[in-house]
Amino acid sequence: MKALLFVLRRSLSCHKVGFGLTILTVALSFTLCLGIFSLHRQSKSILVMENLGFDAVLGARGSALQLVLSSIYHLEASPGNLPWEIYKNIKDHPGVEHAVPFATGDNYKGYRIVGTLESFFSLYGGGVNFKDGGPFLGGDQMVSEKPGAVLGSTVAQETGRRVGDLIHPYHGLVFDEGARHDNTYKVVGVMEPTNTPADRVVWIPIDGFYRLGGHVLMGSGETYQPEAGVEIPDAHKEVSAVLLSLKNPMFGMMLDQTINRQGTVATLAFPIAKEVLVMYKKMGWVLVILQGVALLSLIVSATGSTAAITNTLHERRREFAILRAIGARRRHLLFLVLGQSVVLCLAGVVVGLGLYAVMMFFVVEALRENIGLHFSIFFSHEIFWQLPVGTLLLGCLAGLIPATLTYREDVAANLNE
Amino acid sequence: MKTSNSNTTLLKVRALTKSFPLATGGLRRVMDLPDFSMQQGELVYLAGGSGTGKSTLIHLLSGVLKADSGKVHLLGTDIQAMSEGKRDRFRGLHIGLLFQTLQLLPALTSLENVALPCGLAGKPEGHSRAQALLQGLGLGDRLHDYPNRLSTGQAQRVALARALVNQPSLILADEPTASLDAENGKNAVSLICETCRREGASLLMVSHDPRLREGFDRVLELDQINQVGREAAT
Repeated sequence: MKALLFVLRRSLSCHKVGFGLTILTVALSFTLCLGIFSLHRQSKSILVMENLGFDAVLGARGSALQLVLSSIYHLEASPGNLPWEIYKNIKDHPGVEHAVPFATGDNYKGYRIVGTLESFFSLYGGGVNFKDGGPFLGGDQMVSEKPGAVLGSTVAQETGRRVGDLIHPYHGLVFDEGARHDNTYKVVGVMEPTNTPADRVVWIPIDGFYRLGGHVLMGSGETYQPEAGVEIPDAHKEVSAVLLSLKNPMFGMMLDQTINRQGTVATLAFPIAKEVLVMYKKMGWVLVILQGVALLSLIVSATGSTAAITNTLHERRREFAILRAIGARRRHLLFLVLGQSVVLCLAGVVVGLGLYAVMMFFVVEALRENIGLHFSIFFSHEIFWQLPVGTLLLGCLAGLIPATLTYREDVAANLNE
Repeated sequence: MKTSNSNTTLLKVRALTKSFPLATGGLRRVMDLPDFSMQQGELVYLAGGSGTGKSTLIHLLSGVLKADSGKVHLLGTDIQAMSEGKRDRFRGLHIGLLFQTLQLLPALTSLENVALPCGLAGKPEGHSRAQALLQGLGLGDRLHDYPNRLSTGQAQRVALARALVNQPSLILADEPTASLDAENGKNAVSLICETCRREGASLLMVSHDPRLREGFDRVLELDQINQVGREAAT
């Protein structure tokens, strides 16, 4: 065995360039495959966000998915506004444990500004931890001249703002330097990373949101312009969404019946995960196709490995004939050729794992920055042993054809060459 | 070291035939050997010109080639009746081959080349035996040199050591001095004969060079024992 390992090592070192390219091909395919599988496996659990701290979202009549995307993922525009009265009613519903209103529509340098209440911070994800400072107080009371703002961890990191800094909101969801509000907010807290889209949000008191310059309220159906120093009557207030935690899931079904089936004003997204799963299932076939393409590329690279080895067989036929003449048996030649294929695939897997780690580092960062979801590079999942083992088995299969061809060579003819 | 016993038959060939297909169709018979035998420890020189089937005979006797018919008994076992795999194993254990072009593996050092047959036969002592053989052949300082760094004579001694490393009963040599000049050829054959005698191995050497016959126990003309050659001559 040691002697054959010698021959194998020498043979690999004699074809460095060709085999190096084969290793790179296998490594790239492996990286692609593992990347797609890894994102697919993680996306479901990450998108569902099981420990959100809320069970349902109430919003304007429209798409429940859009409501979830706008209020939980902070991706879409809100489907519309609801009068404050509806928030108060749902808050007082016997089945509702907590209700937290959201008002959205502005940004700070591209990061969404959400007006809410202090209670949000004690409920979201079981309670938000602060890296610095703390939450603003209240939220629905008339705010001071420089009301407090809480920054999500990504916002703080990317904008460099810290507790004590003043920030100016900008009108609209898309950052436009010309659309700056005159109002200023003093940063009172910076959240620890929650690894959710909340990290990409600037949180301000909902009353302060109403008072941003140019904001007009239409909760009563009539236009109302908030005035400084004057409390806003509840009748004029509006909310973009209300996050609900329920005393019992049964109440969710009851509310679903009342609001979605019998009502015409609002939409209830319950359970929140259901809407995401519906979207996930709709997109599922795309992911299946992507996985298929990735697997196909792995098979193509294994075929490339077969071709590379088969090409070397022609120039090595004399070597194999000598080996046969001095006593090498079928299993020895199988070991040499299959070993070569397995070594190439093993090297491809090792290099591929390295490339995967580098690629995913950037992908994870891009996903965190752009949608606020935190994916992991390595996590506990069978794909991390299944794919390497599968690739090695593929390597064995890839070596089988050239290995079989090798033993069929005419030893006498090759010795005479 | 094996003990020479010239009274014991080592190799016995009966009715051995081999034909090769012609490009134009049909078959051309190149070997028809009705009877040939060698005693244990015997050194036999088989003379033959180009195209008389010297290499074919070596390949048939070693089991590299499958005969159309006939028997090749070595140590009482018919090589030609064996499966391909068993022939490979048997050859590795009992036959040493010396080739015209030496056929050393260029990617392995002298020592690795010589030790390889032991490794293939599963013998653990290959390394020390290879080292001892190479030192015995005056190559103690070239153990870790690759074949392209050796002179033809040195490479030939490495090939001889490789043929002997598994202590085979029979060495089959196919024009092993073809790449040497006359003087070095004679010296090489002397060394081969001397080493085979010392190691107790029988030697069957085929060559077209009549000057190399010295030192052998028996000299035969291939044309005389191969019926195909005899028919051509008559």
